[in-house]
Parts: sequence; C-alpha cells; structure tokens
Amino acid sequence: MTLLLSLSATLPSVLALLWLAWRDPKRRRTAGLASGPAVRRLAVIVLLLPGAALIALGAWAELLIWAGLSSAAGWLFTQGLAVPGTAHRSAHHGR
Amino acid sequence: MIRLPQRETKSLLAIHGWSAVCLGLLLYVVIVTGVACVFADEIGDWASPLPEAPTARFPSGIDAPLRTFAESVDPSQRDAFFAFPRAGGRMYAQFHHDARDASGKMVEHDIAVDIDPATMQIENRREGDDDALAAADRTNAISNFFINLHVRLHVPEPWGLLLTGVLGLAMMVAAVSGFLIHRHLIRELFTLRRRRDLLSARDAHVVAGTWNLLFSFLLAFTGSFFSFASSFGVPVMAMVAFNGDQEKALETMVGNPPASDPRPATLANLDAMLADARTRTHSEIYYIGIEHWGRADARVSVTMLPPEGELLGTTYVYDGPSGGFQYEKPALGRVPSVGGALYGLMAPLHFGNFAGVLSKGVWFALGFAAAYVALSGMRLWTTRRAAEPGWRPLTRAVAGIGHGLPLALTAAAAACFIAQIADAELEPVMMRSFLAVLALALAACWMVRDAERVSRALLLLNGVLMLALPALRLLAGGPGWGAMFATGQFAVPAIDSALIIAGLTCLLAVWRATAAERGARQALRFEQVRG
Repeated sequence: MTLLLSLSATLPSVLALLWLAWRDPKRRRTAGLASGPAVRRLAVIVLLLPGAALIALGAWAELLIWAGLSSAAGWLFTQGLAVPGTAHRSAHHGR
Repeated sequence: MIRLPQRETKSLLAIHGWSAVCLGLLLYVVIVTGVACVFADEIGDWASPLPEAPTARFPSGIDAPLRTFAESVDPSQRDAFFAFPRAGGRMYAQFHHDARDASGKMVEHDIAVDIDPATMQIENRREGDDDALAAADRTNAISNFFINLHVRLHVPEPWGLLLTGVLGLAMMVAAVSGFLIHRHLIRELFTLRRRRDLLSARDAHVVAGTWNLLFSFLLAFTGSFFSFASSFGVPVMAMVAFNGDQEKALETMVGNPPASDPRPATLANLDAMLADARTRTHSEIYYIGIEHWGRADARVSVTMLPPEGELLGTTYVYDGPSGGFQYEKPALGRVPSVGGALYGLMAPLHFGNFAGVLSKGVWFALGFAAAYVALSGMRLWTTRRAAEPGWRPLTRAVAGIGHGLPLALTAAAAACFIAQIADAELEPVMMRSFLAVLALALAACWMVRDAERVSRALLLLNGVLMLALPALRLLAGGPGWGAMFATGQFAVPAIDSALIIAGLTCLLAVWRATAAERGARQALRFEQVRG
C-alpha cells in the first residue's frame, strides 16, 4: 500500500518536474533555444498537489518518500538536460 | 574591527580557510559512511548470511536460548539487556552493566552472544566494553566498521560523538548559508552548464545543493541530535536537574522508573510476551529490552516496527516476573506529548528505515546527493584558490579524500573477507587497510601534479575492487545466489548486483572522462596547428 500510494503520488509530480525542466526559460535561454509560452503555474500545481493530498490523508511515510523521490528526480532531470558547452558558446556567439 | 597588518590578515585567512576545509573533509567522511549505513542491516545480511532464512525476526522458541544465556551471566551484571536480529537473522543479545573501577571511574562491562535462529545455538560469546565487543564481532564486522566511522569517526567516546555533532551543525550552517547566498536559487533550479570550467562546477554544486537542501538540513539536524543527546545533552541535564546522576535523568526522561525490588524472581516466558505484543499491532517486533533480568522489579519492553504507512512503532511494557501486559509506552515519559512525538521522529527521519527498502533507497539517493554537494563545494572552493601556494595542499587533499574515501571503504570490506579467509582478526585488518588506502590516495595526490588523473585512477581502482567483492565473498565461504534465492534471502544477490553495477559505472565514468580529456587535447593541438 505504501509503495502504491508513494508511486501514484510521485508519478504526476515527476512528469510535472520533467515539463518544468524542459520548458525552463533560463535553461532554454542558456542553451540558445526559444522560450515557449509559459504554463509554469499549472505545472507547479500538478507538482505540489500530490504532496498536499498526502498531507490531507495524513500519509506521512508516503509524503516523505514522495518528497525524496521528487527531489532526486529534479536533480536527475537537471543533470540529464544539462546545457552542453558548445551550445552555450554558440548562444553567446549568436548574440 | 581589529586592524591587522596585511601579512597577519593573510595568515588568519589561510587558517580560517584551512580549518573550514578540514572540517568539510571530516563532514564528507560522515556523509559518505552515512550513505552506506542506510543499508547497514542489508550489508550485514549480505556479508554473513545463514544457510536458512529465519521464519520471523524473533522466532518462536527464542525464550530458551536467551534464558540459558542469562543464567550464564552473574546476576549483578544483568542491569540491562537488549536483543534484536541482525547479520542474516542471528539474534544479537547483550547484557550491559555499569560499575566503578578502583579509581572511582565509571566503566562499562558488556556480555554479548549471537543465537542461530534455526538451531537456537548460542555462539560467539564475547565480553568487555563497547569497543572490545565490536572488535570481537565476526558476523557484523563490515556494518559495525561503517557505523562506527559514521557515528564517531572511530574516535573514543564522548569526543567522537561531540565531533560528529559539531559536523552536523556545520552541515546545517552550510545548508542555510548556501540557501541565503545563492540569490537565483529558484530561477537556476534547472540550469546546468556542462563545460570543463569553474562555472559548470559551480552550477553542479548549486543545483545538487538546491534539490537536496531540505533533506540535508533534516539529516544534519537529526544527526546532530543523536550525537549531542548522549554525549552532551543527558550529562548536562543530569548536572543541572539531577545533581549529576545520569541514570536518574535517563530513567525520568524515559519514563520507566521501576520501584526498586532486588529480590530474585524468575522472568516469565518471553515467547508468550512476544506473541501477545504481535496481537496488539499489525507489525513485527523490532527489538526487546529488559531491565533487571532475574529480579522482582524486572520489566520487559517490546518495541514494534512501524506498521505499514506509519513512521513510528509502538513499545509495549510487560511485568517481568508475571509476564502481564502493563502499558503502551510513548517515546518519552509515560503520557503522549508533542516532545515525545518529535523525539520519536528523530530515528525514522535520520535512518529512513520506516518503509523498508523503498524509503532506504530514497534516503540512500539523498545521502549520495549530500555527499556530492559537500565534495563539489570543497572542490570549488579549493580550485578557485589553487594558484595560491597555501591552498595547493588542500586542493590535493580534497582530490585524495574525495575519491580515496570510497576506495578505502571498499578496501576495508575486501580486507574483511580476506581476513576471514586467513582466519585473522577482522576489525584491526579492516582499520589498517582503510587507513593505508586513504594514506596512499593522499600521497598519490600529493606527488602527482595532475590531481584529475589521480582521481580517475582512484575511481578505476574502486570500480575494479567493487567488481571483485562478490568473488571475495564467495572465496571467504559465502553462499552462492542459487542457495540464497532458494531460501528467500535476497540481500546477497541484490548487494552483489549493486556492487557489479556500481563497479561498471565507475569504469564507464573513467573511460568517458579519459575520452573527453583526449578529445580536448586533440582539439587544442588542432587549434595550435591551425593558428
């Protein structure tokens, strides 16, 4: 039950994090990519909503696992979507 | 402000920076060993499995061997007793007794045994203080070594605990000050520039630190609490409120002060008490503690694991001679309180063991990130100052300990298996191997100018050694995967697999770093030729 509830809560948050990381304006600017329309507020709500639901349910163990997995996923996505040096240089040259 | 000549100011700055980095390196040791300690139980099961998996944490019939053990201990030395399963499910049982020596100094005398849960045979009896017991422990040696390094850096009590407590405070200060000084923390949450320069190193440190901020603070706070509570908190409280009587202070705090009755009385059947505790909650027994075994005022505390989805387990108290249930005990005192609940939360929040392997896996990942933040922070700090002669040794020390420490820990585990094959004492061999590898890593970083190359060599060696550990385990008489799968003991294949994956990851990282360096060198040569 703990596993199921933790993973069910983490999945939407991780997807929201992936979206936020992919569309992040500062990251895209640094990579020389065009920034799309900002829908960050919705993604942030999707990110945090499962945590709020777990608090409302009093599922503290699942809340800690959700927070830990989301933090680790955020770090991994940032690592995976790192801006390569060449793109950074070309962005500077393009300006 | 005191006005100082420029030379003195520079010297003071160097002392300030040196002390901060030295403290940071010790903190890194505590964090890295803490990451390994998340799986201390599983490491014990992996290193010393039994041929048969126990049927339960406290199997039926455990009363008889525990009673036999108790009868072999002098009644005057049965003040406190505790037992819990570890290292393949062996029951670790220990009597603890405090006494004053001829000079009036308080000394502890402990007696411990292991009990095989399948045969109920008593094995490995040892006596002495905590350190003597740890040194004579052959079934949980690797876990003990890591835990001792994490908890007190192998420094004698209370100094080791005070030191790790201070390091926990330093980690909290680093987390809070890092949060305050990085102004664009949220804006740069997803921005990581991957180049081979200081900017990328700064990005990598800030990004990892930001994502790990909350947990770093949590782990540092709870870790400091554990270090200071016994080494500083209880003695100070005892001095202030209990006229220096630490035992009285603890009894009042724990809320279990028995009315003293030293008349002899036989302890009731433990199996019956454990069976009763199981009917009261939907979880298994975590550990048992008994005060004054064999006396009329004996009390038995049975602490349960947290039930599914909860953070805290319950403790049930039984009357020793009658075996009757007495009351459910909060973590502190006799009635539930906010303080008691917060105190109870310290352990699950620090150990991350409240939901089995799932929560341990999360804590492992977050601990790994914390270690990365500590190391990347020190590397950033020292690399920025590498041109100054006073900072060069520290730059090399950071490189040496950064990759040398994980290698030294793997070497200590390998040394344990080799000592088992040679039938030598385990703890001294592990300690010597650990220190020798760490010293060699530091010496290599000191002598070779290219610290990056030494770091890669250390990572390569660690990868090779991790790949060799499963083989060494087998050579030391450990069982194969088939036998472990057949008996449902999955810690052995799981940790063997994790070591193989980690070893291959190290080798891959070295290969990629070497290829990137070669590429950069070729590009530079091409630029020179073209220019």
